[in-house]
Amino acid sequence: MTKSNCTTIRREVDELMLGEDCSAAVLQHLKECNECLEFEEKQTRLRQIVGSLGVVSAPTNFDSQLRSRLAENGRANSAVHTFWLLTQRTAAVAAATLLFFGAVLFVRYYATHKSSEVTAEKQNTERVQPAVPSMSPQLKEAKEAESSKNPQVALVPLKSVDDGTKRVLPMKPRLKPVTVAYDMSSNGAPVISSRNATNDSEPIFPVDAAQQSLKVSLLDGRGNPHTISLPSVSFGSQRAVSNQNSFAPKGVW
Amino acid sequence: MNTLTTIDEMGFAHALQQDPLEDTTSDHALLEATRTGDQDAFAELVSRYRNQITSYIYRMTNDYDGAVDLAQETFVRVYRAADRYQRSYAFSTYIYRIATNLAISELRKRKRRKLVSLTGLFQSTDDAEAREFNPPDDRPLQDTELVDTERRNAVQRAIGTLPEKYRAPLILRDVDGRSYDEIARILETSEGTVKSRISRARGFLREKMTAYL
Repeated sequence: MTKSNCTTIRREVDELMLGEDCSAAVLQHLKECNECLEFEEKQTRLRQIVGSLGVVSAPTNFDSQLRSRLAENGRANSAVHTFWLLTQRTAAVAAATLLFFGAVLFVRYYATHKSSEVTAEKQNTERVQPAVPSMSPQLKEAKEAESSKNPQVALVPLKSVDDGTKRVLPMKPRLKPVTVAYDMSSNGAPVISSRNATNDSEPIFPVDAAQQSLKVSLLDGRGNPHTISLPSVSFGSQRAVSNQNSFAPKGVW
Repeated sequence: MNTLTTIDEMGFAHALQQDPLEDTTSDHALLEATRTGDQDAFAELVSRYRNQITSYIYRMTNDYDGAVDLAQETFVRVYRAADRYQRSYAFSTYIYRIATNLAISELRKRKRRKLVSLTGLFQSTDDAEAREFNPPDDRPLQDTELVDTERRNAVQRAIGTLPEKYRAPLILRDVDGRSYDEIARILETSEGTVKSRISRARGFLREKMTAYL
């Protein structure tokens, strides 16, 4: 009798239902193996004891208790349902309120930011735009007289003149404002007569002005000076005068 | 489904008066009727399973009042989940599974609360789970009925000392007489595991019930 055979037989005995007939092989083995026979007897006895426990009856008021429990459960469920409904509604209202205030804050911030940008741009424009050169009283008088004669001739911004030749540039943030220039070509230049000169203590031009080059310094509207130097023109006897300072250095009259 | 406010109108008493043998309606059909609002059908289901479920949970927990409470909870869950019930398994498998889960949950709660008697408390050699066991009284008894009662009490206590994973299959097999296949479906495990656990459980019981065998 091998041990593995006993194990197999005991497993088969173990798996049988109580009262179920054993197979012929098991019966034959049990006749020959006392240990397995003892196991089978104890196992059967144990299962009989366990099986004798039987079914315990539910109490007589089981149904009424269950009924009241179901009713309580239903009330609790409906309370929970109501609570959840209220919670959901409250949450929805809170979310909507938050969204509304968020939107208001965003709009306010955006508007404030925009207006500050515009203000800064204006200030920048005022700072960069050069001041219109002040005119002398004579020039002003002449200009007023001219404008009263010909009202169509007025200060025309160059911008409108340049419209036809405007170049299309790629979109860039405008950093500097457009410099406005005025066309004064139609205005007459002031006439400086000798009488005016006599009123002044000093001559308008120095005596040796003819020997110096004429230098005109112009501002290009961006604060950069441009100097134009014109060579001196001499006539007749002037040529006898020394011509050493005909080209004076820049800035020296 | 009718609301629970009309539960009082359930025909429990009517269902109890019917002879179960005459009722040819299957459990599935009764649950289907419960789903559509037939409260008599649910009452019939309760009358069919209340004793089995109460007894099973009692064997598992060894506490009658707790078993009744858990059995009612089992039916409440069946009622509430009637809409989600699927007919892939037998209704008995379904309701036993719910009852098993509730019983095991209760046993674990007890273990956490350490509701274990100090008498006969010892550690198993197989695992570290605490068990309660009262050794049998060896004094001779004059009455056979008393002997049987004492033996049943002893085996009930011995079952109560088994780990829960061995307890449920042993009760389902040896007390309720269910097949291995059905036990496997109730416990959601394989048939081989069920056989192995039952064999181990009987081994434990043999050791503890030596005086009665």
